Amino acid sequence: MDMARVLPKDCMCKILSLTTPKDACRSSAVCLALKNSADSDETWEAFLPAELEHLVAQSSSTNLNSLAKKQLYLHLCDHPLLLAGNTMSFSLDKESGKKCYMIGARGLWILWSHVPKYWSYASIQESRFPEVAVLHQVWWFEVKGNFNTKLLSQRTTYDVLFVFQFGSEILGFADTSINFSLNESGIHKSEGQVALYPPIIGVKQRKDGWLEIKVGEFYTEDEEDGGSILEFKLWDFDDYNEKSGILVEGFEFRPKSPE
Amino acid sequence: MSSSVEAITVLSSDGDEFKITVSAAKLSKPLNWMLEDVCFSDDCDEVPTIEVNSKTLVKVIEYCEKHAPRANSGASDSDAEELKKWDIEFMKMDVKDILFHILMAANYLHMEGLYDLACQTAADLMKGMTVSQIRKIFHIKNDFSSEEQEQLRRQHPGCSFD
Repeated sequence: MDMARVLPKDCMCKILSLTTPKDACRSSAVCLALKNSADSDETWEAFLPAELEHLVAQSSSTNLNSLAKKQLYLHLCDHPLLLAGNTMSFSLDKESGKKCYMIGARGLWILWSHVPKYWSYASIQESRFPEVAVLHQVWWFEVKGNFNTKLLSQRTTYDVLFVFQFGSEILGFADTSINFSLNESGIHKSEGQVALYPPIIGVKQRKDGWLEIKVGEFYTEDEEDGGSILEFKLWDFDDYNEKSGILVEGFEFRPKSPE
Repeated sequence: MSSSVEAITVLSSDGDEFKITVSAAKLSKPLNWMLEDVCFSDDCDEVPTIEVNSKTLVKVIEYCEKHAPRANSGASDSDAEELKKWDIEFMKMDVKDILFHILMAANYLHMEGLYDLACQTAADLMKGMTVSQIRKIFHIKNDFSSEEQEQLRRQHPGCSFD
Protein backbone atom coordinates (compact mmCIF):
# COMPACT_ATOMS: atom_id res chain seq x y z
CA MET A 1 0.00 0.00 0.00
CA ASP A 2 1.33 3.37 -1.04
CA MET A 3 0.72 6.04 1.60
CA ALA A 4 0.72 8.94 -0.81
CA ARG A 5 -2.03 7.34 -2.92
CA VAL A 6 -4.14 5.89 -0.14
CA LEU A 7 -4.35 8.74 2.36
CA PRO A 8 -6.64 11.68 1.60
CA LYS A 9 -4.84 14.86 0.56
CA ASP A 10 -5.86 16.78 3.68
CA CYS A 11 -4.34 14.03 5.80
CA MET A 12 -1.08 14.12 3.81
CA CYS A 13 -0.98 17.91 4.13
CA LYS A 14 -1.52 17.69 7.87
CA ILE A 15 1.37 15.20 8.21
CA LEU A 16 3.65 17.37 6.07
CA SER A 17 2.74 20.50 8.02
CA LEU A 18 3.98 18.72 11.17
CA THR A 19 7.42 18.20 9.63
CA THR A 20 9.70 21.13 8.76
CA PRO A 21 9.90 23.36 5.66
CA LYS A 22 13.03 21.47 4.62
CA ASP A 23 11.30 18.10 4.93
CA ALA A 24 8.27 19.36 2.99
CA CYS A 25 10.54 20.63 0.20
CA ARG A 26 12.29 17.29 0.02
CA SER A 27 9.00 15.38 0.07
CA SER A 28 7.95 17.01 -3.15
CA ALA A 29 10.54 14.82 -4.91
CA VAL A 30 9.22 11.53 -3.51
CA CYS A 31 6.33 10.90 -5.90
CA LEU A 32 3.67 12.81 -7.84
CA ALA A 33 0.91 12.43 -5.25
CA LEU A 34 3.16 13.55 -2.42
CA LYS A 35 4.43 16.48 -4.50
CA ASN A 36 0.85 17.61 -4.89
CA SER A 37 0.42 17.74 -1.09
CA ALA A 38 3.95 18.94 -0.37
CA ASP A 39 3.53 22.00 -2.61
CA SER A 40 0.03 22.85 -1.42
CA ASP A 41 -1.13 25.93 0.44
CA GLU A 42 -2.58 23.70 3.20
CA THR A 43 0.90 22.41 4.03
CA TRP A 44 2.76 25.72 3.80
CA GLU A 45 0.17 27.74 5.66
CA ALA A 46 1.45 26.00 8.81
CA PHE A 47 5.00 27.21 8.22
CA LEU A 48 3.99 30.86 7.84
CA PRO A 49 3.50 33.04 10.93
CA ALA A 50 -0.11 33.64 11.92
CA GLU A 51 0.35 37.42 11.83
CA LEU A 52 1.81 37.45 8.31
CA GLU A 53 -1.23 38.99 6.67
CA HIS A 54 -1.03 41.84 9.14
CA LEU A 55 2.71 42.30 8.44
CA VAL A 56 2.23 42.28 4.67
CA ALA A 57 -0.54 44.87 5.04
CA GLN A 58 1.84 47.10 7.02
CA SER A 59 4.63 46.80 4.48
CA SER A 60 4.87 48.37 1.07
CA SER A 61 4.96 44.95 -0.64
CA THR A 62 1.57 44.67 -2.22
CA ASN A 63 2.10 41.89 -4.74
CA LEU A 64 2.63 39.11 -2.18
CA ASN A 65 -0.97 38.07 -1.71
CA SER A 66 -1.09 36.51 -5.15
CA LEU A 67 1.75 34.08 -4.39
CA ALA A 68 1.12 30.46 -3.47
CA LYS A 69 2.04 29.84 0.18
CA LYS A 70 5.20 27.87 -0.64
CA GLN A 71 6.38 30.62 -2.98
CA LEU A 72 5.50 33.21 -0.36
CA TYR A 73 7.57 31.31 2.22
CA LEU A 74 10.60 31.09 -0.06
CA HIS A 75 10.18 34.73 -1.06
CA LEU A 76 10.17 35.89 2.56
CA CYS A 77 13.43 34.01 3.25
CA ASP A 78 15.31 36.11 0.72
CA HIS A 79 13.25 39.29 0.44
CA PRO A 80 12.66 40.96 3.82
CA LEU A 81 9.46 42.91 4.34
CA LEU A 82 10.06 46.50 5.40
CA LEU A 83 7.98 47.57 8.39
CA ALA A 84 7.55 50.45 10.85
CA GLY A 85 8.19 53.22 8.34
CA ASN A 86 11.03 51.26 6.73
CA THR A 87 13.04 51.19 9.97
CA MET A 88 12.60 47.47 10.59
CA SER A 89 12.60 44.36 8.41
CA PHE A 90 10.95 40.97 8.76
CA SER A 91 12.05 37.74 7.11
CA LEU A 92 11.94 33.98 7.66
CA ASP A 93 14.77 31.66 8.55
CA LYS A 94 14.82 29.23 5.63
CA GLU A 95 15.65 26.07 7.59
CA SER A 96 13.26 26.48 10.49
CA GLY A 97 10.67 28.97 9.27
CA LYS A 98 11.23 31.01 12.42
CA LYS A 99 10.89 34.78 12.41
CA CYS A 100 13.87 37.07 11.86
CA TYR A 101 13.85 40.81 12.42
CA MET A 102 16.38 43.53 11.73
CA ILE A 103 16.29 47.05 13.07
CA GLY A 104 17.79 49.37 10.49
CA ALA A 105 20.06 52.32 11.17
CA ARG A 106 17.07 54.69 11.11
CA GLY A 107 15.44 52.67 13.89
CA LEU A 108 18.52 52.88 16.15
CA TRP A 109 19.79 55.57 18.47
CA ILE A 110 23.22 56.71 17.28
CA LEU A 111 25.14 59.29 19.30
CA TRP A 112 25.99 62.41 17.29
CA SER A 113 23.96 61.21 14.30
CA HIS A 114 22.09 64.53 14.26
CA VAL A 115 25.30 66.26 13.20
CA PRO A 116 26.00 65.50 9.52
CA LYS A 117 29.69 66.21 10.03
CA TYR A 118 29.90 63.15 12.31
CA TRP A 119 27.32 60.76 10.94
CA SER A 120 25.15 60.89 7.85
CA TYR A 121 22.48 58.71 6.27
CA ALA A 122 22.95 57.44 2.75
CA SER A 123 21.02 55.31 0.32
CA ILE A 124 23.09 52.42 -0.95
CA GLN A 125 22.18 49.59 -3.25
CA GLU A 126 23.34 46.76 -0.97
CA SER A 127 20.94 47.76 1.80
CA ARG A 128 17.47 46.38 2.39
CA PHE A 129 16.60 49.75 3.97
CA PRO A 130 16.23 53.06 2.17
CA GLU A 131 19.08 54.47 4.27
CA VAL A 132 22.12 53.28 6.20
CA ALA A 133 24.22 55.25 8.69
CA VAL A 134 27.69 56.32 7.57
CA LEU A 135 30.28 57.25 10.17
CA HIS A 136 32.49 60.17 9.13
CA GLN A 137 34.17 61.08 12.38
CA VAL A 138 33.50 60.64 16.08
CA TRP A 139 35.50 60.33 19.26
CA TRP A 140 32.59 58.81 21.13
CA PHE A 141 31.13 55.81 19.29
CA GLU A 142 27.76 54.62 20.54
CA VAL A 143 24.97 52.78 18.75
CA LYS A 144 22.01 51.35 20.63
CA GLY A 145 18.41 50.30 20.33
CA ASN A 146 15.64 48.22 21.79
CA PHE A 147 13.33 45.52 20.57
CA ASN A 148 10.22 43.81 21.88
CA THR A 149 10.88 40.07 21.87
CA LYS A 150 7.17 39.22 21.60
CA LEU A 151 7.53 39.77 17.85
CA LEU A 152 9.82 36.73 17.61
CA SER A 153 9.10 33.00 17.47
CA GLN A 154 8.51 31.39 20.85
CA ARG A 155 10.80 29.05 22.76
CA THR A 156 13.75 29.82 20.54
CA THR A 157 17.31 30.92 21.18
CA TYR A 158 18.09 34.01 19.13
CA ASP A 159 21.41 35.55 18.20
CA VAL A 160 21.83 39.33 18.22
CA LEU A 161 24.01 40.41 15.32
CA PHE A 162 25.51 43.77 14.46
CA VAL A 163 25.40 44.18 10.67
CA PHE A 164 27.88 46.61 9.13
CA GLN A 165 30.41 47.32 6.41
CA PHE A 166 33.67 49.21 6.17
CA GLY A 167 34.00 52.40 4.19
CA SER A 168 37.07 53.50 2.33
CA GLU A 169 39.00 55.08 5.20
CA ILE A 170 38.89 53.01 8.35
CA LEU A 171 40.16 54.87 11.37
CA GLY A 172 40.17 53.94 15.04
CA PHE A 173 38.82 50.39 14.66
CA ALA A 174 42.05 48.49 14.08
CA ASP A 175 42.77 46.17 17.02
CA THR A 176 40.31 48.14 19.11
CA SER A 177 37.84 46.44 21.40
CA ILE A 178 34.29 47.64 21.05
CA ASN A 179 32.06 47.05 24.06
CA PHE A 180 28.62 45.53 23.81
CA SER A 181 25.89 44.84 26.31
CA LEU A 182 22.47 43.28 26.36
CA ASN A 183 19.72 44.07 28.88
CA GLU A 184 16.40 42.29 29.09
CA SER A 185 13.47 44.07 30.76
CA GLY A 186 15.90 46.45 32.40
CA ILE A 187 18.02 43.65 33.83
CA HIS A 188 21.62 43.32 32.78
CA LYS A 189 21.98 40.14 30.75
CA SER A 190 25.39 39.96 29.12
CA GLU A 191 28.29 42.06 27.98
CA GLY A 192 31.57 41.63 26.20
CA GLN A 193 33.97 43.04 23.68
CA VAL A 194 34.43 42.52 19.97
CA ALA A 195 37.05 43.64 17.48
CA LEU A 196 35.51 44.71 14.19
CA TYR A 197 38.74 45.35 12.33
CA PRO A 198 40.60 43.54 10.91
CA PRO A 199 37.52 41.38 10.31
CA ILE A 200 39.00 38.09 11.48
CA ILE A 201 37.60 36.86 14.78
CA GLY A 202 33.84 36.45 14.81
CA VAL A 203 33.17 38.69 11.82
CA LYS A 204 31.31 36.84 9.10
CA GLN A 205 30.50 37.67 5.51
CA ARG A 206 26.76 37.61 4.81
CA LYS A 207 25.04 36.57 1.60
CA ASP A 208 23.61 40.07 1.25
CA GLY A 209 27.09 41.58 1.02
CA TRP A 210 27.27 42.93 4.58
CA LEU A 211 29.43 41.80 7.48
CA GLU A 212 28.02 40.61 10.79
CA ILE A 213 29.26 39.95 14.29
CA LYS A 214 27.38 38.29 17.12
CA VAL A 215 26.96 40.51 20.18
CA GLY A 216 24.68 38.36 22.32
CA GLU A 217 21.91 35.81 22.52
CA PHE A 218 18.66 35.31 24.38
CA TYR A 219 15.79 32.86 24.68
CA THR A 220 12.15 33.66 23.93
CA GLU A 221 9.52 32.23 26.27
CA ASP A 222 5.90 31.30 25.59
CA GLU A 223 3.48 33.80 24.16
CA GLU A 224 1.61 34.15 27.45
CA ASP A 225 4.80 35.62 28.76
CA GLY A 226 4.14 38.76 26.70
CA GLY A 227 7.75 39.18 25.61
CA SER A 228 10.29 41.53 27.07
CA ILE A 229 12.12 44.63 25.98
CA LEU A 230 15.62 43.86 24.86
CA GLU A 231 18.13 46.70 25.00
CA PHE A 232 21.37 46.34 23.07
CA LYS A 233 24.30 48.69 22.89
CA LEU A 234 27.65 48.92 21.13
CA TRP A 235 30.12 51.57 22.30
CA ASP A 236 33.71 52.69 22.59
CA PHE A 237 35.13 55.98 23.84
CA ASP A 238 38.27 54.82 25.57
CA ASP A 239 40.98 57.43 25.11
CA TYR A 240 38.66 59.30 22.74
CA ASN A 241 40.35 57.84 19.66
CA GLU A 242 39.02 59.25 16.46
CA LYS A 243 36.87 56.78 14.55
CA SER A 244 35.61 56.75 11.00
CA GLY A 245 34.87 54.52 8.03
CA ILE A 246 32.00 52.28 9.08
CA LEU A 247 28.53 51.83 7.61
CA VAL A 248 25.75 50.59 9.87
CA GLU A 249 22.97 48.46 8.37
CA GLY A 250 21.40 47.50 11.69
CA PHE A 251 20.96 44.86 14.38
CA GLU A 252 19.50 41.51 13.44
CA PHE A 253 17.65 38.95 15.59
CA ARG A 254 17.95 35.54 14.04
CA PRO A 255 17.44 32.00 15.40
CA LYS A 256 20.78 30.78 16.68
CA SER A 257 22.47 28.67 14.06
CA PRO A 258 23.83 25.28 15.14
CA GLU A 259 27.48 25.54 16.18
CA MET B 1 -30.64 3.92 24.75
CA SER B 2 -30.90 2.35 28.13
CA SER B 3 -28.62 3.85 30.70
CA SER B 4 -27.81 0.38 31.99
CA VAL B 5 -25.81 -0.43 28.83
CA GLU B 6 -22.13 -0.14 29.61
CA ALA B 7 -20.67 -1.71 26.50
CA ILE B 8 -21.80 -2.06 22.93
CA THR B 9 -20.95 -4.57 20.25
CA VAL B 10 -19.76 -3.51 16.84
CA LEU B 11 -18.67 -5.44 13.75
CA SER B 12 -15.42 -4.82 11.93
CA SER B 13 -15.28 -4.75 8.14
CA ASP B 14 -14.02 -8.34 8.36
CA GLY B 15 -17.20 -9.32 10.18
CA ASP B 16 -15.65 -9.88 13.61
CA GLU B 17 -17.49 -8.75 16.74
CA PHE B 18 -15.88 -6.34 19.18
CA LYS B 19 -17.01 -4.90 22.47
CA ILE B 20 -16.39 -1.27 23.30
CA THR B 21 -17.49 0.49 26.44
CA VAL B 22 -19.91 3.37 26.03
CA SER B 23 -17.52 5.88 27.56
CA ALA B 24 -14.76 4.82 25.13
CA ALA B 25 -17.09 4.92 22.13
CA LYS B 26 -17.88 8.53 22.97
CA LEU B 27 -14.40 9.50 21.78
CA SER B 28 -15.63 9.02 18.23
CA LYS B 29 -18.33 11.32 16.87
CA PRO B 30 -19.90 8.77 14.51
CA LEU B 31 -19.94 6.14 17.27
CA ASN B 32 -21.45 8.67 19.61
CA TRP B 33 -24.21 9.40 17.08
CA MET B 34 -24.80 5.68 16.77
CA LEU B 35 -25.21 5.47 20.53
CA GLU B 36 -27.85 8.17 20.39
CA ASP B 37 -29.66 6.88 17.32
CA VAL B 38 -29.52 3.13 17.52
CA CYS B 39 -31.12 0.93 20.09
CA PHE B 40 -28.37 -0.76 22.05
CA SER B 41 -30.45 -2.51 24.62
CA ASP B 42 -30.10 -6.25 25.17
CA ASP B 43 -33.12 -7.21 23.14
CA CYS B 44 -31.97 -5.25 20.10
CA ASP B 45 -30.30 -7.53 17.58
CA GLU B 46 -28.87 -4.88 15.28
CA VAL B 47 -25.07 -4.80 15.42
CA PRO B 48 -23.54 -1.83 13.61
CA THR B 49 -20.62 -2.36 11.25
CA ILE B 50 -17.60 -0.11 11.35
CA GLU B 51 -15.65 0.10 8.11
CA VAL B 52 -12.34 -0.65 9.77
CA ASN B 53 -10.57 -4.00 9.60
CA SER B 54 -10.26 -6.17 12.71
CA LYS B 55 -6.56 -5.65 13.24
CA THR B 56 -6.97 -1.87 13.19
CA LEU B 57 -10.18 -1.86 15.21
CA VAL B 58 -8.44 -3.74 18.03
CA LYS B 59 -5.91 -0.89 18.23
CA VAL B 60 -8.54 1.84 17.93
CA ILE B 61 -10.57 0.32 20.77
CA GLU B 62 -7.41 -0.08 22.86
CA TYR B 63 -6.72 3.65 22.38
CA CYS B 64 -10.30 4.63 23.22
CA GLU B 65 -10.44 2.52 26.38
CA LYS B 66 -7.16 4.02 27.58
CA HIS B 67 -8.12 7.62 26.85
CA ALA B 68 -11.80 7.48 27.86
CA PRO B 69 -11.36 8.00 31.63
CA ARG B 70 -9.32 11.13 31.09
CA ALA B 71 -11.52 12.48 28.28
CA ASN B 72 -14.63 12.04 30.40
CA SER B 73 -13.44 13.32 33.73
CA GLY B 74 -10.24 15.28 33.19
CA ALA B 75 -7.05 14.19 34.91
CA SER B 76 -4.10 15.36 36.89
CA ASP B 77 -0.82 16.38 35.32
CA SER B 78 0.82 13.13 36.34
CA ASP B 79 -1.92 11.20 34.54
CA ALA B 80 -1.39 13.33 31.45
CA GLU B 81 2.30 12.58 31.60
CA GLU B 82 1.62 8.86 31.97
CA LEU B 83 -0.80 8.98 29.04
CA LYS B 84 1.79 10.70 26.87
CA LYS B 85 4.27 7.90 27.55
CA TRP B 86 1.57 5.35 26.82
CA ASP B 87 0.82 7.08 23.47
CA ILE B 88 4.48 6.87 22.46
CA GLU B 89 4.55 3.13 23.20
CA PHE B 90 1.18 2.65 21.52
CA MET B 91 2.40 4.31 18.32
CA LYS B 92 5.38 1.98 17.95
CA MET B 93 3.78 0.11 15.11
CA ASP B 94 4.51 -1.02 11.60
CA VAL B 95 3.89 1.78 9.12
CA LYS B 96 2.46 -0.23 6.26
CA ASP B 97 0.62 -2.77 8.34
CA ILE B 98 -1.07 -0.54 10.88
CA LEU B 99 -0.18 3.17 10.90
CA PHE B 100 -1.88 3.89 7.54
CA HIS B 101 -5.00 2.07 8.69
CA ILE B 102 -5.00 3.91 12.02
CA LEU B 103 -4.74 7.23 10.16
CA MET B 104 -7.66 6.35 7.92
CA ALA B 105 -9.72 4.91 10.77
CA ALA B 106 -9.13 7.96 12.99
CA ASN B 107 -10.12 10.18 10.09
CA TYR B 108 -13.24 8.14 9.35
CA LEU B 109 -14.23 7.89 13.01
CA HIS B 110 -13.56 11.62 13.64
CA MET B 111 -11.19 10.85 16.51
CA GLU B 112 -9.23 14.04 16.82
CA GLY B 113 -6.78 12.87 19.48
CA LEU B 114 -5.83 9.65 17.70
CA TYR B 115 -5.72 11.39 14.31
CA ASP B 116 -3.34 14.08 15.61
CA LEU B 117 -1.20 11.45 17.29
CA ALA B 118 -0.99 9.28 14.15
CA CYS B 119 -0.22 12.33 11.93
CA GLN B 120 2.54 13.41 14.32
CA THR B 121 3.96 9.87 14.32
CA ALA B 122 4.03 9.81 10.51
CA ALA B 123 5.57 13.32 10.43
CA ASP B 124 8.30 12.31 12.90
CA LEU B 125 9.15 9.35 10.68
CA MET B 126 9.65 11.70 7.73
CA LYS B 127 11.78 14.30 9.47
CA GLY B 128 15.37 14.45 8.30
CA MET B 129 14.93 11.54 5.90
CA THR B 130 16.23 11.53 2.34
CA VAL B 131 13.85 11.07 -0.57
CA SER B 132 14.75 7.42 -1.00
CA GLN B 133 14.41 6.78 2.75
CA ILE B 134 10.91 8.31 2.71
CA ARG B 135 9.99 6.05 -0.21
CA LYS B 136 11.25 3.03 1.69
CA ILE B 137 9.56 3.84 5.02
CA PHE B 138 6.18 4.59 3.47
CA HIS B 139 6.35 2.06 0.64
CA ILE B 140 6.05 4.69 -2.04
CA LYS B 141 6.93 4.01 -5.65
CA ASN B 142 8.83 6.70 -7.54
CA ASP B 143 6.49 7.60 -10.38
CA PHE B 144 8.40 10.59 -11.75
CA SER B 145 9.75 10.36 -15.28
CA SER B 146 13.48 10.94 -15.61
CA GLU B 147 12.75 14.36 -17.15
CA GLU B 148 10.56 15.34 -14.20
CA GLN B 149 13.22 14.16 -11.81
CA GLU B 150 15.84 16.24 -13.57
CA GLN B 151 13.55 19.26 -13.35
CA LEU B 152 13.12 18.74 -9.59
CA ARG B 153 16.88 18.60 -9.18
CA ARG B 154 17.20 21.91 -11.00
CA GLN B 155 14.44 23.55 -8.94
CA HIS B 156 15.97 22.48 -5.62
CA PRO B 157 19.72 22.61 -6.14
CA GLY B 158 20.45 22.37 -2.42
CA CYS B 159 18.38 19.24 -1.87
CA SER B 160 19.68 15.72 -2.06
CA PHE B 161 17.16 13.54 -3.88
CA ASP B 162 19.05 10.27 -3.57
